[in-house]
Amino acid sequence: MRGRPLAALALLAGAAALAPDMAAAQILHRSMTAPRPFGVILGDVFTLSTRVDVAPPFKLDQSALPKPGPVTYWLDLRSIEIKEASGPNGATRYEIAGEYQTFYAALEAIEQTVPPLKLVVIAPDGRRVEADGASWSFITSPLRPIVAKAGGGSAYSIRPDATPIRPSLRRNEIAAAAAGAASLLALGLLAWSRAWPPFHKRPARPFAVAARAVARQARDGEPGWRSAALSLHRAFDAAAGKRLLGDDLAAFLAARPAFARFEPPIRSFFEASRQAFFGVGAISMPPEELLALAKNLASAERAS
Amino acid sequence: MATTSIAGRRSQSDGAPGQEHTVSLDDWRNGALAFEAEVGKAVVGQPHVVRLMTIALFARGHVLLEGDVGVGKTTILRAVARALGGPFERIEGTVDLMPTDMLYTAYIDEAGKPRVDPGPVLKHGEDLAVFFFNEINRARPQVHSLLLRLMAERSVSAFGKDWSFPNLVVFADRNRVEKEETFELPAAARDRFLMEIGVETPHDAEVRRELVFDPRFHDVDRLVGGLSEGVLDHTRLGAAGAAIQQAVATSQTLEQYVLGLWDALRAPSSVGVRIDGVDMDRLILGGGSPRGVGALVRAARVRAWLEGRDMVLPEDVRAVFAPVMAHRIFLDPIYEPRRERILRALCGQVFEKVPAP
Repeated sequence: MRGRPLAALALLAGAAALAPDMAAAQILHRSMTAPRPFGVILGDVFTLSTRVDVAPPFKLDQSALPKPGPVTYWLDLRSIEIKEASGPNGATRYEIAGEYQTFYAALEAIEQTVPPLKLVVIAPDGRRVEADGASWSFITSPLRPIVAKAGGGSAYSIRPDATPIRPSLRRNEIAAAAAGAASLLALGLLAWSRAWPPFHKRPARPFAVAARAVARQARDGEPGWRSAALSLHRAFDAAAGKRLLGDDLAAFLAARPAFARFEPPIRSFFEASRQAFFGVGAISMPPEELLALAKNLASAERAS
Repeated sequence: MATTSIAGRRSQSDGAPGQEHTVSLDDWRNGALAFEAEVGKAVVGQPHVVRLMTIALFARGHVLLEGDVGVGKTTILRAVARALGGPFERIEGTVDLMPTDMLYTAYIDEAGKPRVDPGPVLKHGEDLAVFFFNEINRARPQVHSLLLRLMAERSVSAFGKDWSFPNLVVFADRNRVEKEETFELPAAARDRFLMEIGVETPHDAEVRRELVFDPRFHDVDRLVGGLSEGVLDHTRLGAAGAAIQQAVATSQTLEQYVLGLWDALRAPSSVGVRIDGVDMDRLILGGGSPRGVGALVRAARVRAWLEGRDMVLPEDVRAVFAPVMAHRIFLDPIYEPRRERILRALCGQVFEKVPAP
């Protein structure tokens, strides 16, 4: 019986159902040992031990005993074991241990009875005597959860949940951090190589500045044209890294091919500038052309 | 601030810039180019030296050639003298040369009497066109002193009278390798030279091959003798030079530019000139005299005229700047040993820093 100490109770079964005259003479003694007859629930396994003393020359007919298998719809005989020994007064003592399992699904505590064994003794001369073994009644109970006692402490009360295992993630964290750092580094390198922010500080864009200045000044009469031309000259100076004179244009255009396709207007600008600043002072380049040249140079500078 | 350029004001006071010169100046330019071509027959690989010599001739300035031994300084000067035509005289500088040796030749004549005849300078009279002083730094300061007067005033006193040489140009050369038994030219004498032109070994491999293997260059006398003589009329060079100075205009912007260059030369750190290993604040002791800057403008005008313009551009100034100005700059003595390198960097950077226009 699960988890419970077996309370061996000896029941002295009465022989009311046996014929008193005959059976008493051949079957000298019958007794049965059974566990406690209560607290049995669905699925419990219990053993009923029957001791029978048989007077000679009679023997127990073992084939008359039930075979392992279903006994009733709710009771199985799992096994049956017979031991034969000599008893007192020359009798033969049989110990019959029947192991049963109940499948009775009780809805409430109810009494059930295990059917008695049919004991048959036979003599060599063919005489035969039948007797019933003891029946056993027990109280079977429904399956009910154990109600936790107030105040706790019961061995059967629900224990707190086990603390979840927290395996160390340090290695993964380090790996993730390293991968993240490598990704940032790669991104930084890419940004640097493609001149994305914050690496977008390109070399100064003198022509962009000059284009704005020229747009402001160029149409402002002759003084405006002169200051616009000066702004453009300063942009050429900045782009060349030195003061750029007209004779240096070929070298400059070779070094900065982005501006090469504007060579004719650049040359005419330098020629106009010479005339304006060093010659007779006449302005030979209309402000619109100056403006267009400054814009073109600024966009060529952006593209370069 | 003046609103018109000096050239403009001058031409206003003189009347219109001589229109009568226009045609003749074009002819003169053709003559000058022919002269260059003629000299170029004997002098290969040195076109910029020939161009500077031409500029100096038309700017009526004296020229000092400086360079290593055997790079052709003397050949260049002889070729120029030959192509220019006119009386030509030369003298070798030696440590015992006395000033009188330039003026007088003393000897014993056939009758055994001492005689004193005119020396190299006076031999051709006042028509002397080119006086060539070879190895000028071997002569002693007394000689330099006489030469100073000859260059500055184009006149000397000898035989009890003054001699004037209106057409004279003095060419001198000096090798820069040798320092033993030489006398550095005094600052005043150097300032009298319009240009000091450095002559380098040509870099072009083809030119060098030609110089070394072509036998034409092995006999200098024949090489120079083969040139046409008198491509230019040396007696009219002075007038042509004056006409050029009149005809080529300098705008106000250019005048300011030249002044800016001058200021930059006197105080290079003010325009941001930096030279490695040089304290720019103590580098310059004297950064060009007014006479020097005047010579610069004169030479720039001639260069502009040779390029076929009637206005001076910054490019003209740049082309003649180093030859005209570098030898007039006086450095702190501790920088003198590195003079050449420092001045090349200084002149280069001045043009990179001073805005034009």
